[in-house]
Amino acid sequence: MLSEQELELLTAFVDGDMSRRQRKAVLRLLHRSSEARAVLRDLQENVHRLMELPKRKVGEDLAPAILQAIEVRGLKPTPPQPVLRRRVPVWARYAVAASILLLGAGLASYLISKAGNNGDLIAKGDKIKSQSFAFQDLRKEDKRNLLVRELRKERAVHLDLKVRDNASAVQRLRDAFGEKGVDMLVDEKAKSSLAKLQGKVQYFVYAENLSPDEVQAILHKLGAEEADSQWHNFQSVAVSSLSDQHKTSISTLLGVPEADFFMGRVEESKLFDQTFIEAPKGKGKKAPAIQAAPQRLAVVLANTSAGSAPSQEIRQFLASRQQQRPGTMQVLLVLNQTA
Amino acid sequence: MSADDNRLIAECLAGRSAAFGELVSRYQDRLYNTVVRLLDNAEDAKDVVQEAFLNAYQSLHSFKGDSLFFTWLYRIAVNTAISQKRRQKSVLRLHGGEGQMVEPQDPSQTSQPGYALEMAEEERRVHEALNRLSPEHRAVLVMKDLEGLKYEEMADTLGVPIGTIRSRLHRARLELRDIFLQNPSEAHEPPHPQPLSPKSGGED
Repeated sequence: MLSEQELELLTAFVDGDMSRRQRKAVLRLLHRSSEARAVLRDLQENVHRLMELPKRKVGEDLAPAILQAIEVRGLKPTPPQPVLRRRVPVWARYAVAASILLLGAGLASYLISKAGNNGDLIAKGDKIKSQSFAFQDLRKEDKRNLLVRELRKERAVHLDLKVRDNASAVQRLRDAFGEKGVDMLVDEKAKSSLAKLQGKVQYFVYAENLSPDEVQAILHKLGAEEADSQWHNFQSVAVSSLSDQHKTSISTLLGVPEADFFMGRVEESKLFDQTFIEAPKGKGKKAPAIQAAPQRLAVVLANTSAGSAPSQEIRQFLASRQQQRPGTMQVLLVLNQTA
Repeated sequence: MSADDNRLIAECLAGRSAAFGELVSRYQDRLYNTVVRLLDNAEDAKDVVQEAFLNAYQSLHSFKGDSLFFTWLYRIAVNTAISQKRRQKSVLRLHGGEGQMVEPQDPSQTSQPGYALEMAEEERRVHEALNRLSPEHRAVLVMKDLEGLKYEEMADTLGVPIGTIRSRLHRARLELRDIFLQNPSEAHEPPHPQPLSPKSGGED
């Protein structure tokens, strides 16, 4: 059995990447080891296999098609002109800074007076300050704490993710959600769109009954992976409240009337806004323990025009919906491919 | 060649897009021959080459002439192809399917049908084996063995240190060997190389 070092010598020998001393060492190795000779022969055969592949030609002149694309898309070989910004007067900057400080102070005193330290329960009423985080920054504890603080302010949040590649982002989100016990279903249309590598399509990943800490952990995992990777797919995440427009989009894509889905009757559709259990606000009241849910599912949807019949994945997701547990939220991740 | 490229680039930047057509015609086949070995599908390879040219056109102002135009273009195309391959792999993982292979060369292109079939079969086998490697490992093998690039050029193209290239190449060669050992050829043995002679001119 050849050692790793001996194998390294052999592959380097194939590429001619070695010093005179290493070359002598290889020759000695080849002299004494029939296994080394066999490995070298295989390696050299494989080099020849690749070298012998026939030269392929594109088969037609691409130039006309490319020139047409340049014209149709209006591409230019020069950089876009920078947009000139009007300078803001210095006094206005001070005025804005002072207003922000006053607002911050007021908000802080309001929060302190609330004395609502409810662990990971959601403090209903405070609005999320729309904030953006670079994924790699989520390795820093202070950033993660800030993220969780924002997430705890809402029962329904929107996370806008900038990614370089939607398909691998969905795959990695699926793994990250899976670690939190949330299975991800990919709707038929989204599957087809991902397979066609349609970068311009926006994808929704919708999930319920996720705690702020779980969401933070999912994003943290993605951020940590980015740090280890040479190719950075997840770039940034912006956190904000789930807008009415997004609620409409989700309902439409799932093929469920918005009124039923978000504000309708509890018995029929197990709605989240109506069934949400409020986090206790008063002192002394003990927070109800978060119970384990049976099975949580997330669904991936392509944000294109909705089809006539809901797919099997959508039906499965709708059937799996549970009453919202305290301290959890509805989460919509929107994937935007930047490249 | 380089001076001529620079002249065409200057014309493009001055607004004569037809000059870019000349650059396309000049390099399309060389680029395609590499990209088609990085992917598994001739149509995908053509799309990647087109996108690479379009990206190059839009970034033409940033081409400083520190390297050859083809080297710059090659870098764009190879990295686009690797990204495409990664996407394909992740989509296949989502679908749980197998990769589709590149179409073998048309046997009618040679005058000896038996030999041509044999070559087409060998080409298919090589592509199947390459397809089992990671996009990064596949890329270094293609760049080294097909294009004959030096380590520095490969490192520059992929934006990684030379040590990484060396290590990827080592792993890739051993993986490829394992793959061929698991699936030995019955039909065709590649021409036997001269034994015990390292390649020359590839030293760092």
